[in-house]
Order: sequence, then C-alpha cells, then structure tokens
Amino acid sequence: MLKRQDVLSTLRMVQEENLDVRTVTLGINLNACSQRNPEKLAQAVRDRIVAQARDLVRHCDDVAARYGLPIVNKRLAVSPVSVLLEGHAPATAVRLARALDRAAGEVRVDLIGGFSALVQKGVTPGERALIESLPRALSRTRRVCASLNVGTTRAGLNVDAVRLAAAQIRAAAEASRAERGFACAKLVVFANMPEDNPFMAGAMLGPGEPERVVNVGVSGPGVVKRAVDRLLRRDPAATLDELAEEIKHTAFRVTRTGELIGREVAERLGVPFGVVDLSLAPTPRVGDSVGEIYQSLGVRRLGAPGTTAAVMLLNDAVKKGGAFASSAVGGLSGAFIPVMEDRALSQAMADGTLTIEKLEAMTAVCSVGLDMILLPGDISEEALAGIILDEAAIGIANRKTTGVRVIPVPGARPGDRVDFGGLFGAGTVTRPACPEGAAAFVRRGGHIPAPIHSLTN
Amino acid sequence: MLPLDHPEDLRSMPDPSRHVIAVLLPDRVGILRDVTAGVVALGGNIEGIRQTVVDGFFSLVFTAAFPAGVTAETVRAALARRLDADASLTVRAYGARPRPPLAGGVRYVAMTRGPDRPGTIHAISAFFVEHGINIEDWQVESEGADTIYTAQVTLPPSVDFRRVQAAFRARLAPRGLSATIVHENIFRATNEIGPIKGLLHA
Repeated sequence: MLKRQDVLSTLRMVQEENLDVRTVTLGINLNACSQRNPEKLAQAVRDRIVAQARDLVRHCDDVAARYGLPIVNKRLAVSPVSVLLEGHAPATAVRLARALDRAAGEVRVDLIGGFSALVQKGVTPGERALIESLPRALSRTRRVCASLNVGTTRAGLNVDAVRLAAAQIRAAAEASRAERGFACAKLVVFANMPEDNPFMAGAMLGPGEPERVVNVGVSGPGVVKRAVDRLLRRDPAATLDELAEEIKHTAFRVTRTGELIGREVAERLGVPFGVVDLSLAPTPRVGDSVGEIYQSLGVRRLGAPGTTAAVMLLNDAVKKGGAFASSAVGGLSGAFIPVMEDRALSQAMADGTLTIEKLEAMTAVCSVGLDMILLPGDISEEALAGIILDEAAIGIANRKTTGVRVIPVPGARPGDRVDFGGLFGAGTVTRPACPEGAAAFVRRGGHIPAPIHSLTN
Repeated sequence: MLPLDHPEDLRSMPDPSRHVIAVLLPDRVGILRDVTAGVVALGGNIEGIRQTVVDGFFSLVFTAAFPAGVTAETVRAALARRLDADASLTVRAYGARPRPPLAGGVRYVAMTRGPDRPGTIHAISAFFVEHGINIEDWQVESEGADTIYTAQVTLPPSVDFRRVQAAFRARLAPRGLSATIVHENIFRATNEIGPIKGLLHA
C-alpha cells in the first residue's frame, strides 16, 4: 500500500513541479561501418543508425504515455567518428557529418553526438581530419554535435590539440557567420570527458561502452527549485544543511524516476541500460533554471561572493541523493551551467554580476565548465586556447570533467545580445577581464604533463 | 498473517471455513484487541486486514479462516459479545477469493485537487466507471482551501492511457479541479529503495 504523504509528494512533483526526464540517449557503436570508400562509409553509417535507432522515439513516446511523464529529448550518441576517418580526408568527415545528420532526421531525434576525437595524448591523421572538418561539418548540418577530449588526469593536457581546437572554433564561428556563430554551440572541448554522457553537445559512446546502450538525464532544475521554495515557505529560517537535505531527497526521487523510465525504454529496445546522469540541465524557460535555485537559496545576485559555495552545496546534495537512489549513476552528474540556456545565469551575465572568471571558479566545484558563453568575434585564437587550457587544468588537477563551449560571435562586441532560439537560448556577449597577455605561453605548444597525483598505481 | 502462539494449529486446519468480516463503530481504545480476541477464541486466523478511522468512526474489514463448521452466525455472536452495543457487524462466509474485477489491469494513482463541492466524488467515480476503471483505495484530505482526493485505481490493460488522462482532466476542469493520473511505478520508484529493475515486471 502506498503511503498517503509519499503519494502526495510524488504527485506534487508530477503535477505542479514539472517532473520529467530530460533526455533518453541511445548510444550506438559505429566501428563496424569502417570502409575505405567514403561514399560506402557514409551509407553504412546512415544505415546502421537508422536500423538501430528506428524505434527509439516510438518507444520513448509509449513509455512517457504509460507513466504520464514527458521525456523532453530523445537523442543519439555514437562512438567517436574519428575512428572511422583513419586514412580519410577532411572531406570524408564532412560527408560523414551529413550522413549522421540525415540519419538523425530519419529517426526523428533533434541532436546526435559523437562527432568526436579523443586527443589527450596525440592527434592521429583521422582525428586531425575530423578536427579540420569541424567548421564545415558543423555549419552544414543541423543535428550533429562534436566534442574533443584534450586532456585527462592521467595523460595531462595536449596543448597542441587545444590550439588546433581554438583555431577550429574561430573558423566554425566564421563559417556560420549568418547564424551568429551558431556552429560553435554544437562543439565542446573537454578534459576528462565521460564516455557515457547523455547530454549534448558532449554526448558520445565511449570506447569502453557496449555496442548499444541507453543513458538518461534526470529531470531539470525546476523540481529542485520548487522543493527549495516549498521548504522555505514552510520554514523561512531554514539553514543551509536543512536545504541541502531537501535537495538530496528531491534528487533521490528524480533519479529513481529517470532510471525507471530509462530501464523501460532500454528493455523495449532490447539494449542494456547504462547510467542515470544526475546533471540538472536547464532550459531557457522561467522556472527551469539552475541559477534560480541559487537565488532561492539566497544568492539574489548571481556572481556575488557566496555563489561558488551555493554551487557546491547544490552539486553535492544532488550527487548524494542520486548516488543513494541508483547504482547506475554516471555521465557528467554535476550542475550544468550553460549560461545561454539558463535564464537566471544569462540575465546575471547581462547585468555584469556574473563574469567568466566567476564561472571558472564555480566550475571548480561542479562538473561542466564554461558552457554556452558568447564571446566577441575578434577574440584571438590564443585567448580562446587560454580559456580552454585554464578550464582543462581545473578538471585535470581536480580529477573531474570540465569542458568549454564558447561561441565567438562574428562582428559582435561585449554587451551585444544574441538569441539562438529554442533550447539554445539567448545571451549577452562578454569577454575575459584580461583577454590578451598569455599568447607566448599558449604558442609554446607541446604537452602539459599529468599532475603528480595521477601516479597512484 | 497473525500466526499467534500455535502456528502448527493453522497448518493442520483441515477444510477451513472462511469469512469476510466488517466492523464499524465509534472509535475507542482497544477495538482491534477485542475483535481479535473473538477470532482467537474460535481458533481462527486472520488472512487479510484493513483498518482505518474516518471522522471518528473505526472501520475494519478483514478475512479469516476458522476450523471447519464455524458458521457466520457463530463468528458474529463471538465478536458481538466483545463489542459495544452500537457496533455494526457483518460476517459473510465465502469459498474462493473473488477474482479481481480487472485481472491483468495496470495500477495507477489518480488525484484531484480543488474546492470541496457536493458531487465531486460522484463525478470522479462516474468517470472511472465510464472508462472501465476500478477503484481499489480512496483517500481524502484538506490542504489549505483545497480538498485532495487520491484514488488507487486499476485500468483495463487495453485502455489508451493518454486518452483517459486527457479526458479525466477535461471532465474535472469545469468543477475547478486539477486532475492527474500517474502510474503506480512512479510512486514505488520515488518512495522505495529497492532496485528499479524489480518494478518493470512487478
């Protein structure tokens, strides 16, 4: 028999707090598609994706209907495409990106990740082909998302790859000038990239993953915000540990819901269930913002001293609740901070209270990094590389994932407003307080060795 | 249930006489003790039980197995002796357990929230009947100005849940009620700590 109070609190989450599952992402290994002939390769990739993912959306819709809970996004993550590009030219990479785009459209998913290369220790010819194709691949497709891993705690940081990535970010922005650099919104540069992340743009099916797998992302931040607000209405003097406890309980529930939905979709597809990613992924909608949670906690002006501590509190409480809820927690599992996609954070950036430097500090205590930040179009490659290096260094030294997804907007200056629409949101162009001055350091290239605490064996 | 002090007696009960028993009276301390004393005195074993208090009235329904030959009238007399004079008591013999009205159905929880008006429960239950939905449990409580009705229901396996959900909301909206139906597994997932995998085939 269900307990009355449990029923009411769960119903409240469903009916009033927009409990949902943010994403169900099907991972597909493409390595069997390897071909010397570019045309046949692209066809094999398209055929395999359509064959494997044909029923994803239908099953997701059926499970969502059965449980009365929306699955907001249905997506695909493929194994790193660079593996298929050994012996091929960048033109083949563009052809492959188009094949991915077409296949994703045919199976009715909005984004497909895995146009990726893992280059933390070095860049193979196939990986270079993929990286050099990024401006064309991302500006000529709608659904393809790309990612690069430039460093790990065990391998250190590949500065040459970072410089290459920075150059391609600028070129991708220029290639999508008509869309204000939108191609860059589909490219993430990671350190310690997870192999099972279901969220875009960084989703891929890592080399250690099964042939096919379903990973899910839990409900958005709105549920947590409303739980915090409800506690504060009941007890306006609630302390931070009491708030952390409330968030933990809420995270337990959203994680269990995510796993339930993910497992049922996986079973219907006949594939293994992978992980629940605990990240609270915001959308530009009011009431679905990570920044609004911090505001509810008492950080009225995001970026004020105390903001980083609020980030830590939230991230830790979500992880504790989620880890108790499920033995299958993975992916990024941190507080997502994609600035443009988060209404409160985007507003704080526009108000000037939140800066790139503060965001960098915040990412030291949550997982994602500098995400969806608009930069002036004239920012130098060295400055871009420096931003990536700094963020990657935080991840590598702290044994955690960090990433950079920045958009240099061609022709834009600090303070300009840019709106990508839909889930990608809107924001204000900003810049580092001191954008230039480290070019000589960046240009040295090479490799930053792994930090000493990696030598644990 | 209730193996009491001599479980071997229950195992050796040949051809038991089964009864379903309902007890209703103003609540006081000790009612359950008195009822179970009557059952024990007849050598019976309680198999299923549900008890609650509604607006000060104690309500108990239970099933019990007694040694062969114990009639409904014997049980009624044994219990009546131990209960207050104004207690309502119904005892009915049965053979096999009744089959559930919707075998193979899917369990959901339905909730409405809004102002308390005459006819609300009738409107909700009439909706369920129209869609072949069976109510298994029903609770009501107040929260501020709202009255919240919560029902555990079973939907026929063939029903289109999306249409039922939409129709439920549409039917109750003119009464000022928000309404929703949610699969039972959502509640079990969010309130139990066992493996999720076990819920998929429950």
